[in-house]
Amino acid sequence: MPSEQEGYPAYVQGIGQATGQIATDPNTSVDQAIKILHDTMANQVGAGNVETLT
Amino acid sequence: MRISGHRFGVWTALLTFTAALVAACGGGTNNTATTDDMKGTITVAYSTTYVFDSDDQSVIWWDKVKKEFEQQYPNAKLNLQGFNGTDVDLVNKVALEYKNPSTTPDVFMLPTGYVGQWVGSDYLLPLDSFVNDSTKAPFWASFPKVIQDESKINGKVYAVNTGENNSALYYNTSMLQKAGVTVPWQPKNWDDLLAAARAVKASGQKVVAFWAPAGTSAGAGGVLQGSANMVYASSTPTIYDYDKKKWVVDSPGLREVMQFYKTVYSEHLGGSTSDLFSPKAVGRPVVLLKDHQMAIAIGSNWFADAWTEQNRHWATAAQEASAVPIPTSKGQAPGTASTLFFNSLTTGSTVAGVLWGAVVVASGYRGTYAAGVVLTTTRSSSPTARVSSHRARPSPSPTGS
Repeated sequence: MPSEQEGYPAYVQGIGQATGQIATDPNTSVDQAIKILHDTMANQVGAGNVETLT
Repeated sequence: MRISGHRFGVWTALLTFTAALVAACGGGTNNTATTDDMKGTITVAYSTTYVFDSDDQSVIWWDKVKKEFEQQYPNAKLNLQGFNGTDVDLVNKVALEYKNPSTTPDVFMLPTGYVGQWVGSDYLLPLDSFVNDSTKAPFWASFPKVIQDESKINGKVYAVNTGENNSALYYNTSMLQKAGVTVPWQPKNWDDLLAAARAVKASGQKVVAFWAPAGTSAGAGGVLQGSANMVYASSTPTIYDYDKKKWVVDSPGLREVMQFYKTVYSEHLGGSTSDLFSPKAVGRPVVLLKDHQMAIAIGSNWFADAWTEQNRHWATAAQEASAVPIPTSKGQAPGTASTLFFNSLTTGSTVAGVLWGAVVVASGYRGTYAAGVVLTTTRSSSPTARVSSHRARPSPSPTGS
């Protein structure tokens, strides 16, 4: 785990919120869950510090 | 070791130096003290309840550290400051202490995942001069690089680990047998996980078929022991791109993870939201497995330790529960995946050398009472720490930085 990186708490929050949203409402789409993680990270560490891998 | 309520079993302890403390041995700014003239008190903040298999073991362990430390430094005292509660409770409580230099502990035992936050607040002092000196840290060279790096931030070492946790799948053997799943269960991919969970549900057993940790209530520990495992087991096992220094927020692997969660929860295979979103969520599968209310769980090695405790004792765990590695999403190489996570000890003083002595003493005892600790004990019978003339950095502001 990249716990040494400053954005780690934000990642914990982002993926936790994404999985939590699915558990709360399984109708949540994968796209919506990914957006939760993306937006949380972009807001907290900056859009320039996140990326999409294909 | 383990974590209570949500004890994390074999968390490691990291010992790092905080830059905050002013009033440690020698009385504040005495930077030229020697071992002989060291006077004063060093305070250690630690958890009394989540690291060891029983609370009394925690006291025994730290009392031994205190005894050895004070033998090494006869004019110094080690003040043990124990905190109860979960790991999250611990870091929240101690974080408040760091707001003021007068209450900041010299040494702090905390989950590794939080060390970065302390470093980011400029609370910790690098330990490189100690760990890179084999006379001061004879154990360091025996640490696997991955463990050494776990406490390295921006190229500097801030902590020393005293144990290690990893993750796996726990399952109730008889529940899977009743569901028609062949045991020992050997899932090769995530379809196998879902197939087993569906079989449990279809068999009519009124249990949680598959515990997939979700939500934020358990903090970093919940992610470490839950979804992060699945990310690393996915087809894109990258959370942070170290080359580009960017966080991966979308990838085929992350989409596999989200789809897996979606399947688990849309088919009502997972746990209740009351359990998932409890502050003690990390410890819930331990209890639910023991109480025969859960068939499969993403869990950690400390679960087995927890079942030896008095309050979560499961006498027949060895016969009823089994563990198997978490398979990769499609069975791709390397076939299995797991997170690693630990505990940490931090310390801060103007007299870094004597605190390193505490680190050596404390880390030397690691494993003595910590069943399941991966790292072997390298107890130093004669700590070689010397009080140095190292000057600590200025204390952080009360509000941190």
